[in-house]
Order: sequence, then structure tokens, then C-alpha cells
Amino acid sequence: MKTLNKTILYGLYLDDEVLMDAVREIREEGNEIWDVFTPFPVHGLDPILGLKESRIHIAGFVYGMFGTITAFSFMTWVFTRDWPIIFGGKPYFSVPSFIPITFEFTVLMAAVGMVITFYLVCGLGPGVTNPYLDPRITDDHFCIAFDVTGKSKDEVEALRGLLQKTHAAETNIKDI
Amino acid sequence: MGAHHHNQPIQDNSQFVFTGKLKLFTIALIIVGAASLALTYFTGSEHAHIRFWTNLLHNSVFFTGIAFASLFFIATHTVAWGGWQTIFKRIPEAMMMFLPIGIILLGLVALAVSLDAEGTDFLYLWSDEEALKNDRLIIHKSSFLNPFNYLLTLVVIGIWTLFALAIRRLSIQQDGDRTLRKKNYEKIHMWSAIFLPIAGFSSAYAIWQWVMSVDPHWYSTLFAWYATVSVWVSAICIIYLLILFLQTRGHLQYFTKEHTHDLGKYVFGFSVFWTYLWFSQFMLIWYANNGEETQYFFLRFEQFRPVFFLNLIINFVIPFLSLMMNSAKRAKGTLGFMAGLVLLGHWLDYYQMIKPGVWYNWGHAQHAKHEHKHEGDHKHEGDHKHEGDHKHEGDHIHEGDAHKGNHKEHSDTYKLNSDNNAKAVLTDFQTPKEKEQKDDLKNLALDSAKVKTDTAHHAHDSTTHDHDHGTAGTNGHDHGNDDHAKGHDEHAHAAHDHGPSFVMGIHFPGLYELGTMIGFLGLFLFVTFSFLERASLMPKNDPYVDESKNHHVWYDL
Repeated sequence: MKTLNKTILYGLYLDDEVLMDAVREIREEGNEIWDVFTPFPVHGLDPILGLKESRIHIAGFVYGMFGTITAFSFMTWVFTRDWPIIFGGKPYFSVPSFIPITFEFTVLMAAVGMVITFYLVCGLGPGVTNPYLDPRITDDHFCIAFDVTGKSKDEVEALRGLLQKTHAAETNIKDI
Repeated sequence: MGAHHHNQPIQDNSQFVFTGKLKLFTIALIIVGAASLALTYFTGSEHAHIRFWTNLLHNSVFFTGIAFASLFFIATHTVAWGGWQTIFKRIPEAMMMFLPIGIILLGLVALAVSLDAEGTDFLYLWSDEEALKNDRLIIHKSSFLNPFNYLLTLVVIGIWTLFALAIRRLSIQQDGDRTLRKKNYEKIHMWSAIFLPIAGFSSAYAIWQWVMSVDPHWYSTLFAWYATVSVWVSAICIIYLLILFLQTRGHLQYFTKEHTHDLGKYVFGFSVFWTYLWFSQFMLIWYANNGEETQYFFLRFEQFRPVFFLNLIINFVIPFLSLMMNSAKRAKGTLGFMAGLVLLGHWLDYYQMIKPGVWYNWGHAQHAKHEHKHEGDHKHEGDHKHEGDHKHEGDHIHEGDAHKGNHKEHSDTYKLNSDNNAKAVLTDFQTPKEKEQKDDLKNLALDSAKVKTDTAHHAHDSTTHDHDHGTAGTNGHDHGNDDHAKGHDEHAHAAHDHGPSFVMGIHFPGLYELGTMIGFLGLFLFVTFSFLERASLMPKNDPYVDESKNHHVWYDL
């Protein structure tokens, strides 16, 4: 399955602590890591990798506000202009009774919006083929990968040596 | 893993010293509080007594509650095998030693209630002999709301104190003996697990007696949760503020941004949870619209509006918006400021749980006295007035004014309902406004029924039906508006008639209230510091101490 047209050198680690130390060491020596794969989210890996904080929560806030405003203004319009009905002897415009639905709609919009944004940004979705390096990465192995497309044999061997030095249990090259 | 710390050795002073200067400062605070309380009592104003008793009750309950929440903090975190809090757990362990002081403070209130001290009849209407004779609901509840059961709450604090002492002793014992590392931890775990269910039920019992029974006609099953979360947030705020203070003195240097973040999440999360409970209680009462229940919020909304809204702004709007971002929860300055504000906010929350109820009880009694005197002096006029009352009764009782409604009216009401039908009693607690609304609805229903019959007779004339129905709906609404306007007039009128609508120290915390709070805070700090001094700030042999020291510090890299 060749989808990215890249040649990847990767090392497999057996422990997340070892992986973290390896990432720190490799980056300290000025090497560029293509990606790191873990079977579960490893706390604190992002800053070590030099990744910026995700902005998805800002998107979430915007979606949430959209939900709040939409739900509240829609109910206000319906119950005061479009189809006024008395419920339980309350005035047409009664804020407390709007709050639960406003809250629910806010949460719904924020959640669904963030999921869709996340899928779009990551290029995920139904029908998308995802190349993988090694199936064990989804089980109990941790992986550091280098993009070695077009690199000389010496450069590749140097990187491989670095992986082994940082206690990689296994190193491989794969075209994806 | 803690690379940050491994690189630079941390200078942590683990022995807190309660210096003479600090002692003097807390004692000065206590003197301010004592002076405020004394001045409140001797102002000579007609409200002096209720102001004094409410201030004493309010602060005693609030700070005892915080001590309870500190014990709860230790217990929940231990039961959940939590480790991150270990480096600062000596702070809640010291704070919970305020519980015995709580027995003394609430003991004073209980004693005053038992001895029927002046003003306590209004603090707890259920201790008033008049009410016990005439007020059917209070008679009905007297098997629960009575001085004996009130004294039992002291036993409840006593039980909490036993748990606090046991847990603290086991924790400190560990410091000197490494072999107790696991053994004592397991014992603390067991004590905590036993404490939690006891805490859940007993705190509800205590808070019903102390605070909810201030409005003896009213009850809410959510109240205990709501009141307990309030002190829980306050306890977390005090813990954080104490951490900041101790850090300036070279203690708790292992306390990182990660710990700050976790406490920030607590302040944020539990502020939202508090709001959730507040709103759940409010909305159900507002929606069901039973006079007996709405009376609670009606009083607070109509007469204590600044406190009512300030409560929501300080405890929800501000922390919600300002602590929403990660960076705000992790910033010392922001979280420190918010902790102070939210602490004050929850103090205000307890203020508005207690003051309005007592004010209502007092106004009630004053009105009854006035009425009585009037009748005695001018018999004819008295009768006349009585008639007048009956005429206006509809508008009169409920606008939420403290001075309206009186024992006489109530006893009349009860006589009418001598069949002891609970439902009938409830109906009579409805406000006339609500009754009118209900009548409107009934009329509306009748109208539609009539229309239905009409439609049956003239099945083809569907346009008329819609039209009629629409008109009925609109009329109902208009009428509601009129009623609302009338309500406002009545309110203004009543306030003019029966006394001031704003009294400093009742409708809003005055200087004496703030002074009293400062005094209690001083006492609380005095106790906390005294106990902090008696043990190492850093638990030496707690199995989780290393985990807590290295509470993932990634983001600092």
C-alpha cells in the first residue's frame, strides 16, 4: 500500500518512558523526527516533540457560542413572535426554561463541531486509507519514525545507530 | 519524569513556624471579629439581635463547613488512591482541626436557641412558642425541628472530629517511622472509606438543622448538596491561598504548575457544579410554582436582589469565563485572585441562605405584634382593619415582603383546613398571584372546553374555534402582565407601610458582617497555623510522596 511515496526508517520501543527519553535525546542532537506513534496518548510527549498546543479548543469555544446563540435566539423567536404558547402559566419570554435546551445545544455543537474539525484537519474519515508502519504500534509498541526519502545510506545508518543507542528494540525501513 | 527537578536541586523548607508576628496578626483579626460581633449586638437598633445571631450562625456554619470539606478532601483523595495532593495534604489536615472549634461555636448557637435567648425565635421560627401553637407546618415538623435535634448536630461534628483526629494522627505517625509507610496508609484508607458515607448523610442532617430550617416552611431535597458544594469550593480556595502564602516563606517548593492546574480545575469544575445545583433547585421550584416553595426565591429575588445576582456573578459567571482557559488555571496570579473572589462569593452564598429567612421571620413577628397592639388600643378600628386585611388579603400576603402575612392570618388559614389535609394546607400556602394564575388557566381550560362544545355543535365553524382559542390565550397573558404591574405597586406600598426596604447588614453585608468574617477567618487561620506547625509540611513516608513531587512536570520543559 503506497500512498505517501515516502521511505520511512523507524525504531520500535517497548516502554513509553524509554520512548520519551529517546525522543528527548534524538532531538537534542538536532535530528528531525518525522512522527511518533503510540498505542495510547502519552502525557507530555507533545512539548518534547516541539509540537504547538492544539487550537481545537478555540474552535470548540466558537462552536459552543454558536450553539448558545442559536438555541437561545431561536427559542426566543419561536415563543415570543412565531408561535407564542403559555407553558405552566409562565410568560412567553421566560429565560429559566430556555436554559436547559441552550446548554444542551451548546454542548452538542461544541462536541460535534470539534469532532468534524479534528477529522478534517487530520485527513481522517470513512473511506480514507491509512498507511501503517507496523501493526504492533496499535498494541504495545512505541515508534519513532524518520523520513529518509532520498537520503544516502550513511545518513540512514547514522539514524539507525541513534535509534539503537536509545534502546530501540527493533529498527526497520518501509516504503509507504 | 521530573527531569526538571533532577537538574536543579530544590530547596524546600518543610518545617513551618508560626512566628510571633503571624500570631499577632491572626489574633488582631480575631479581635476585629469579636469587636464586630459585640458592636452588632449593642447597636441598639431593632434589628441588632437578629443581625448578631445570623452573623454568628453564618460564619460558624461556613468555617465549620470548610473544616468538614478539608476532611472530605483528604478522605476522597485517599479512597481514590490519589497521589498528586500528598505534598500539600498537611494543609487540609491542619484545616480540619477547626472542627472542635465548630462544636464550640455552633454549641453557642444551640445553647442560645435552647435557652430561648432574645432574637433566636426569629433565627429559628420552630423554636418560637407562638409558632409552635399556631403554625401547622411547624407543628408538623416539630419532631425533627426542635432544640434536641439541633443539639444532635454537635454530636455530628464530634463524629467528624474523631475521624479527623484519627486520620491526622496516623498520617503524622508515619513521619517518624518508615515501617508504618504502608500500614498507616492502609489504615487512613479504611478510616476514609468509613467516613465518606457517614459524611454524606450526616452533613445533610446538619445543614438542614443549621441553615435550611431558617426557612421552616420551605424545604428542598437538593439543598444539602448545594450547601456542601459551596463549602467544598471554599475549602479548595483556602487551600490554594495557603499554598501561595507558604510558598512565599520557602515552603512547598515542590508545588508546581501541574498542582496549580489541578486545583484550578477543581475551582473551575466545582464552580460549574455549584451552579448546576443552584439552577436545578431554582428551576424546579420556579417551574412547579408552589407557593410554599417559591416563597424562598421570591423573598430573595424581590428584597435581596443585589445579593441574589452578585452570588451568581461571583460564583459562576466570573470563574466560568476567566478560568475556562488552560493558561488561566495554571497561572498563580489569576488562580490566586479567583480563589479569593470565589471564597468571598461562597461566603455571600451562605449569607443569602440565612439572612433573608431570618428577616422574614422577624418581619412576620413585628407585623403580628403591631396588629395585636392596634386591635387592643382601638377595638373598633382594629376590627375595621381586620376587615380591610381580608379585603386585600389576596394581594397582600405574598409579594414577598417580610412584614406581610402574620400569625393571625396563618392561624385563620389553618382553622379553615382543620381536616388536616396536607394538600389543602399546601394550597393555602400558594400566593394569591399564583392562585390567580391558576384560575386563569382554569378559565382558559373552561373556555376551550366551551369552545369544544361549541365546535361540536357547529362542526363546520372551525375558524371561530381558532379565533376564540387565540383570544383566550392572549387575554390570559395580558392579565398576567397587569397582575405583575399591580404586584410592583403593592410591593412599593407595603415597603412604605411596614418599614424600610433596605437595611444595611440585612439586605447587604455591612461593615460588621465583613468584620465578623475577618474575625472568623483569623480564628480559622490561627487554628490552621497552630496545627501546621506541629508536623512536617512534607509528609516523609507517605507512599505517594514521590509521585506527588514529580506530578508530571512536562509543560515546564
